[in-house]
Amino acid sequence: MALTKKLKITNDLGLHGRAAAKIVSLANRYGSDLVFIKDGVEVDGSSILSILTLACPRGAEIEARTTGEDADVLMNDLIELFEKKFGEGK
Amino acid sequence: MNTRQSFDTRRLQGIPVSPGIIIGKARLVDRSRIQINYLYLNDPKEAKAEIKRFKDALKSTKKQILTIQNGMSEQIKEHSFILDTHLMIIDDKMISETTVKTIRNELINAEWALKKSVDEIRNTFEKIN
Repeated sequence: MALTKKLKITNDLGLHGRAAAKIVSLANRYGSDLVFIKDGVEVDGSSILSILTLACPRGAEIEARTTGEDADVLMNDLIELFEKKFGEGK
Repeated sequence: MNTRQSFDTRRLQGIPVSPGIIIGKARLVDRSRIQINYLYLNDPKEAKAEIKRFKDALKSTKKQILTIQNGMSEQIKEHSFILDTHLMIIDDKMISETTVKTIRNELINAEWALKKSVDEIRNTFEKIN
């Protein structure tokens, strides 16, 4: 199973270290693979350093792709994490 | 240099960081206090042992970070996520897998291979405007 979804970064600080760490924790919870694509650059969603190289500020949009048996659950949790601003409140 | 030297563990002294977060422009401070040996492996068969030495060092570092994290007082426990991030960086493929590949392909010691990985990551971040 493979799913693709465009996600918007809505928290004030953008995709910084703490937010990236939450994504990696989430990705490591599932067997499926997670990949982010921005401006033609594809990075591994289970690598915090790779995610940080995307340098996404507030308002940026990135494409997320999940592949594997539990790709749907991983994608749903990922959408929720982005919508909840990585738990930062603002 | 093309000689095999014995490896030892070195304790480095640093400056303790204060709790909390600072947002601002990062400045790289390289006081060149950490000197590493640049060594070629004499035989491709030595790569396996060198990779094991590197992985053992990663494990040891993780253990040290976990010990620090577990010993954090309640007052600063809320900032322990900073150390979670450090643990993730240690596990990151951009560091671990790249270093292992460099040891194997270029037949150099772990310190040199790790430095190459870190330099590569630094270059990637420096390209970000």
